[in-house]
Amino acid sequence: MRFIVAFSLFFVLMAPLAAGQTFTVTSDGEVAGFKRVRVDVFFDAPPEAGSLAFLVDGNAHSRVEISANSSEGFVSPAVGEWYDDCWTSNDSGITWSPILRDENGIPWAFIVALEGVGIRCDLTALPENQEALLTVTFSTETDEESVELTVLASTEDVLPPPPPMAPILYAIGSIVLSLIVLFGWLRWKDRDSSHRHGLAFVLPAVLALAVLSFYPVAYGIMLSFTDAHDEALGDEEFNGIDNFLEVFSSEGFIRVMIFTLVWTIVNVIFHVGVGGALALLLQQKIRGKIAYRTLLLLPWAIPSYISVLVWKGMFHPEGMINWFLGTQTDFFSGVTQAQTMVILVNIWLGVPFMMMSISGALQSIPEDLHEAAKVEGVSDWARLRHITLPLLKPTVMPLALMGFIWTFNMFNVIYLLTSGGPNLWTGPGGTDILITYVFDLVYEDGALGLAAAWSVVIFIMLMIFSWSLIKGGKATEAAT
Amino acid sequence: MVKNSTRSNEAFSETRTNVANRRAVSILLTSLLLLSSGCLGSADVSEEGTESITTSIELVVWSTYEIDSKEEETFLDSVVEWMETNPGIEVKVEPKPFFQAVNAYKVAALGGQAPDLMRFSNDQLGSIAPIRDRGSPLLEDLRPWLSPVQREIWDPVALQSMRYEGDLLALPVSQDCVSLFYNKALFDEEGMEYPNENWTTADMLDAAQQLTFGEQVGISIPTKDPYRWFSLNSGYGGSLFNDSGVPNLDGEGSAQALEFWLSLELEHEIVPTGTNIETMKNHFVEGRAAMIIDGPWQWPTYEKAKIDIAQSLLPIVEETGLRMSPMVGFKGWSISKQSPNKAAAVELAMYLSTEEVQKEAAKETRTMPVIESLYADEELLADDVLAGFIAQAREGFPAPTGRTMAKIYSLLPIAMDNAYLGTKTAQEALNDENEKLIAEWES
Repeated sequence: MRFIVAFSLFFVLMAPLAAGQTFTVTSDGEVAGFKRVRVDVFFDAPPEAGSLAFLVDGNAHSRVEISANSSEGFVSPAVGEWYDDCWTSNDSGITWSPILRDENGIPWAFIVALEGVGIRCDLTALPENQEALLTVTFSTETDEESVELTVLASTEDVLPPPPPMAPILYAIGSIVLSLIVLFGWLRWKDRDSSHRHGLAFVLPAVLALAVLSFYPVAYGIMLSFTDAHDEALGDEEFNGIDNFLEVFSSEGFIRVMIFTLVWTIVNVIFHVGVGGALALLLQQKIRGKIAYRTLLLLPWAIPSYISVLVWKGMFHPEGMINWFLGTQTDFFSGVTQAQTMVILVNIWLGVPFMMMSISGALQSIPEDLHEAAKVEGVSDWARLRHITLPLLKPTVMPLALMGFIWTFNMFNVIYLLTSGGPNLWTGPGGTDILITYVFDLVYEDGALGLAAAWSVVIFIMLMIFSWSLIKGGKATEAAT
Repeated sequence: MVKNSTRSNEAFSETRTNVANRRAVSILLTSLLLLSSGCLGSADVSEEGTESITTSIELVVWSTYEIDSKEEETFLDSVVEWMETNPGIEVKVEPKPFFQAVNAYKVAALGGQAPDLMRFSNDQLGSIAPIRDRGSPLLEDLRPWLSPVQREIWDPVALQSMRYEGDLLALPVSQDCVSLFYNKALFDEEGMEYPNENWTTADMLDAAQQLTFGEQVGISIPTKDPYRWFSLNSGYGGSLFNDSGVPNLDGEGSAQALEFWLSLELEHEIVPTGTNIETMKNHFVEGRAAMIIDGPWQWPTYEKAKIDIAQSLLPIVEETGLRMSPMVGFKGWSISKQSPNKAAAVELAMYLSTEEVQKEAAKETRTMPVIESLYADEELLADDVLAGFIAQAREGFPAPTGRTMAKIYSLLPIAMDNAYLGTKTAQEALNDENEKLIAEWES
């Protein structure tokens, strides 16, 4: 924050008023803020009803009406919709009361006009660091007196601090340095080996991964232990495991967790099952195979958000499905119904990818094996069970793992179809999965620390599932 | 030969080691450079930003008008006119979808990439205003830029709606609210009288029932849309906040309002199942809906669809004698706190909110102005539709500006869903959500 006060002017002028009254005008360009000047007007005696007008460089600026006599006091300013930067005093400026606005934004004030009555206004829209001529005129029915003075709004604008690059650069630099040290050590250990240069070749990719993946993950984990909120960014403080306690004790935690698992497992089973079945079917000698394959690829070829919106329209009470059934059912109104619909749409979207991938794997199985088995009189079912499926496993397991991670974090289908609704409870909606709920936490509630904690939970869950799948299914066999 | 080969291999190996060492040193230096650049002060950046004012200025404006709409065309014409009178300044207009505007702005502003100007509605202001990035708000407080006399041209209620905790965060440019739209042709076919300002909800219900047959829909309203429900709620005497500003979703009349609203679909079956805003629009565009509750922003769409459209004040609630009072939303131009060209940006925002520009927009697009003098402008009032909208807005209540309002939009649908599905009564559903709202409000 930069707050530079170049200099200020302070003027005191006195001018005679009707019936021997006088008023004093003082100004201060330092205290009121950017493009403002504080002006104090003191009447030596209770003034008559009249109008106190301010002109800046000859242009009307503002006006305060004094509509009552000394027994009734000052009433509200008449010009402009607010004077919340104006105050009145009836004790020679010892205490000041703001001139308030009512619920419609209309200003009002009432003070008893005693001797030493003053009005203080922070005049706005003054030129910055440039002298301006302020004319203060007090007009009554019978008289008009003016005071002129030069004012200077000398307070600089408070600009927001530039984005903090230092911590980010420190973090990235640290990651890069630690990787270099790690690689250096590995290289040193491997110095006699013939493949030691391989480390140098993978270094750029690892560096990119460190900056683009490791750092955001590390930052997210760090954020999850703070009270970060968009109402106080940059002022976040470490709050231990409070966010995690809130996550685990939140009303919808179990609910959203169960639906996320159901959503993921059902989708992956159907993607692999239906995709595999279709791939096997298309492996047979059937007529129009290319046409079928093209048709089955369509859901994958069309951008998913378009497909999802088309499905949304078809499921509408006046959509094609209801028209076909002759009903007017709102498929997204009930929780179970909506959950079924989002799962169905995602199954439809995910099958083509699995089908294509498994098709490729099927074609890589040597035909000789099947022919040899046929010669030996092995049945179709036994060939499928003992030749096809075992040889597909190295392909299918990593695919299933990838599908699991993708589906677990699939955002757009649910967001576009139901936005997480129907919302019958606070917290996650009926079709919210973890990732869509985290989005709401960030963009609706601004609870960044809490959202980061949910993300860490998602991360840990995915790590555990992936590890179990890899260990249990030997998913990495394909790579070896 | 073998000896030579070994020597050359050694030499090669030596050279390779040197190259590798040099590479390692250069990588280390790069990393150190990255680290050391983090140590540099950041004041230079802002200084660079302010220097550009003295040379050529480019203002970036995010427009949330519908692309290729009449509103956008009128707005772009105004910008071109302003650029002609301000030769040193180039204005770059970038379209943004209205409903994603807030999130897009937050992300851009937090990354130091906010546009100089952007148009926000007052409820959008309420969700951006509380955000602080290292103590700094995202939007400029415009109070210091305007004198009270300059502010005087705007409707005080509109100006007030652009404020958040005292700060003036936008210059008001338009207002809108919903009213009752009807298809005259469908009324004519049945020989029925058009809706009028003396209509009650009973009249509306009766007419809707008569006009519902076959594919035709008597009245189409999105039954789970809080915004449209607010008008019925106020007609039943309900309010979103009580006099002390405490959330009051379960106040007197609100449960009855919700019951009546949902009964249009669930009991009377004059609103088709699952009607949302899009289907309501489709019903009307296809000439199937006799009545809808919608706002002036959709009027050009219906006119384009050649619908014999007219508009009337929302009816009076039979039970209370109070007129349905819509929530009036305001939109205004905001300036980014981080804009390096604030003075020029404020100039443009002021121009876009002037009487002249607002009048042109009202004439061309029936956008309701927020300039006091235009409320009585004969030329504008000669347009029945615009006059009707202005009359409806006069019956409305200003949309609250605050984050609690955003919360109402997320909690009220929960109550509506529960009441719709019958898992709770309307009163229970509203009670539950209001309790949560109060807890949020208190925190």
